[in-house]
Amino acid sequence: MRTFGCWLLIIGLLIGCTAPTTVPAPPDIAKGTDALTIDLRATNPELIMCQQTDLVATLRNLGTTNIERGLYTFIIEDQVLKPVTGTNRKKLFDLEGRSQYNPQGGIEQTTLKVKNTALPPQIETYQTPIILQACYQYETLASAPICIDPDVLGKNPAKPCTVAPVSVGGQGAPVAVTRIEPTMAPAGNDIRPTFTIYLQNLGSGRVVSAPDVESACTTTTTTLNPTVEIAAFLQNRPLRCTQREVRLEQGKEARIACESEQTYGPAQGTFSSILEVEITYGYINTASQSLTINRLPGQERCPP
Amino acid sequence: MTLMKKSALSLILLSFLLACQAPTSGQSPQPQEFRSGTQGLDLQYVANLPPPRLFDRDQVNIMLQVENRGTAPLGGGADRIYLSGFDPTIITGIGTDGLPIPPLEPRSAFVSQGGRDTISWRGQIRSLTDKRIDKYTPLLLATACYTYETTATAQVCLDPNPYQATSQQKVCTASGVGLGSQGAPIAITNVDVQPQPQRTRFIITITNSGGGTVYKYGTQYLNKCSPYSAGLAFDEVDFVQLSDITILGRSIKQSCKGLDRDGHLRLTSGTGQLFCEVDLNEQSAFLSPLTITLRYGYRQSIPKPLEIRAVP
Repeated sequence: MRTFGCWLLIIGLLIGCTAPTTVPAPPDIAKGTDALTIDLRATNPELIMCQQTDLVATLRNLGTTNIERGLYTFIIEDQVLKPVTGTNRKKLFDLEGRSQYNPQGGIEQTTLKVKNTALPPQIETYQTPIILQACYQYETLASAPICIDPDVLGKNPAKPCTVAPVSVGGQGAPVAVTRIEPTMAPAGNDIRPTFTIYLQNLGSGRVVSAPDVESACTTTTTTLNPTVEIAAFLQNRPLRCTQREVRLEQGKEARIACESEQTYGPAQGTFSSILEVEITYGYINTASQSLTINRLPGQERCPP
Repeated sequence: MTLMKKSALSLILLSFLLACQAPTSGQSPQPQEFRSGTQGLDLQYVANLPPPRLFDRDQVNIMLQVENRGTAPLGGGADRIYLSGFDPTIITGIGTDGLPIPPLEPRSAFVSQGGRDTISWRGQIRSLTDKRIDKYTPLLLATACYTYETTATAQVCLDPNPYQATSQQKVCTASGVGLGSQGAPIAITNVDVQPQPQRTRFIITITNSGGGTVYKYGTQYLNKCSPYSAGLAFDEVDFVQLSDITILGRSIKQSCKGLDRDGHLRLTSGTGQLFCEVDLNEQSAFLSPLTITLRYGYRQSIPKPLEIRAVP
C-alpha cells in the first residue's frame, strides 16, 4: 500500500511538472505556388496490342482558391487509342481550395478507359503519349505588410515601421506577387502612397485570360492571351492602377503601378497596414504519360 | 551540574541580550543621496497586456505601467502617452489624442520610490478571415510626451585672487566638479570653474543621458511631440531651457552665454555647454553651492510587437 502510494505521488509529480506547452499557432494557409496538380497514370503502361487500359488521373487543388466549373480533357492519339464506350474524355470539375477548415485541399480522381485499336504496320513497339489538360479560372489574393509614413522628413526618429520594398512569398496560387516597392509621394503637406507591384507566374502551368479559359481546353486555337486582371486595395479602399489588365509572359516578371486615392497626413501618424492585391486569370495545367503498345508475334490487326 | 547548566544558560541569554542591543541614541537614519540616475519616466508594458498573439474579431487590451524614477514631479497637465503603429481600420477604438499621464510623485530624500500608476487602452480587432489574410503583425509604439526638470547643485570654489602670491593656505582650489546625474534624463555632468581676479567663470556641460528626445519647454512643443502631429521642427528639438542658475544667493542667469532669446540652450550630438560668470567682492577663496535648474520637454517610446492571426 505504501509502495503504491509512493508511485502515485511520483506519477502525480511527473504529470504536474511537465513542461508547459504553448498553444500552437494556426498554420499559414496562403503560401505556395501551386494550384491544380495532376497525377496521371495508366494502370497498365505496357499494353498488348488490342488490349485496353485505364488512365487514372488524380487532381488535387493545392491552392487557396476554389476551382469552379473547371474543365479537363484527355488527349490521346486517336489513330491508336480510342475511349471505351461510355467513358467521357472531357468533364467539368469543381475542387475546393485549401483553407483553415481544409488544409489539404480538394482531391478528385477520374478514370478514362481506352483501348488500342491498331498499330502502324511493321511496327512491333509503339510509344504513344497520353495527356490530361485542365483549364480553370483562378484567383490570387495576395496580402503584404507595408508601412504608411507621412513623416517623409524624418522628424520623428522613433517609428513603428519604415518604408521599404517587401518581398512576398507564395500566396497559395501560381500567379504570385513577388515584390512590392512602396513610395510615399508628396501631395501638398500630405503623402500619397504609391506601390509598384511585381507579379510573375511561378507555377508550372500557363496563364490565359479568364474569358479564354474554356476555349483553351475545347478548341485548337493557339492564340491565347496570357493576361491577368489585377486590382489592389489599401484599408478597404481600391487603389488607382495604371492598367487593369497585365500581360504575363512565361518566365518574366510584369510590373504595375497603383496609387492610393486617399492621401495621408501627419494626423494619421506612421503605421503598418496590409496591401491587398487580387489577380484573376485562367490557368492551364498539363500532365502527360507515355504508354507503350507491343505487338505480339502474329498479330495483324485488332478485331472490330 | 544543575548549577553549571544554569550558568551556561545565563551566559547564552546574556550574549543574546548584548547582541540584540538597541542602537544608541544619536544614530538617526540619514537621508539617502537621491539625486542620481538618468531616468525620468519609466514605461513598461504590463505582462500579457497585450499578449504576443491575438486573434481577429477579438478585443485587445493594452496596459502600460508608468513610474516616475526621477527627482522632479511628472504628469497631470498636458503630459500624455500615445499609442501608434497600427492600422486603425484593423484595430479600432483607440484614439489619436492619447491618454493623460496621471500625476506621479518624484523620488526624494525620504521617498526612495517615485509614484507609479497604469494607463490602459481597449480596442477591437476587425476580421482578417474575410480577406483571406493569414496574419497582421504591427509594432505597437507607446510614446510618452512630458515636461521635466533637472536640478543640480555643485560645491564650487570661488577664488577672487587666483594668481595672488601668498603664503597663506587657501580653503580650496578652484577646479572642475564632476556631477554625474541628478535623477533626470538631462544631466549636468560637469562644472568647470575658471577663476579670474574678482570674477569666476563656469563652463557647465549638459548631456542628454535618458535615451529619448529632448525638446523645447512649453505646451505648444508638448503638443507637437505627439506621433499624430506634424512633428517637432529641427529648431525645436535638442533644446533645454535654463530656468535659473544661482550662487551666493543670487541669480547669475543674465550673465550666461549660449542661450537663445527664450533662454534655451541647444544640444549638439546630445551635449551642450553653458558659459556663466559671477562677480566677486570677497577677498579670499571660499566654497559655495552653485545651483542649476533646467526645464525641457522629453519624448520616449517603447515598442511592442504584436501578431494577429485569422481564425476560421
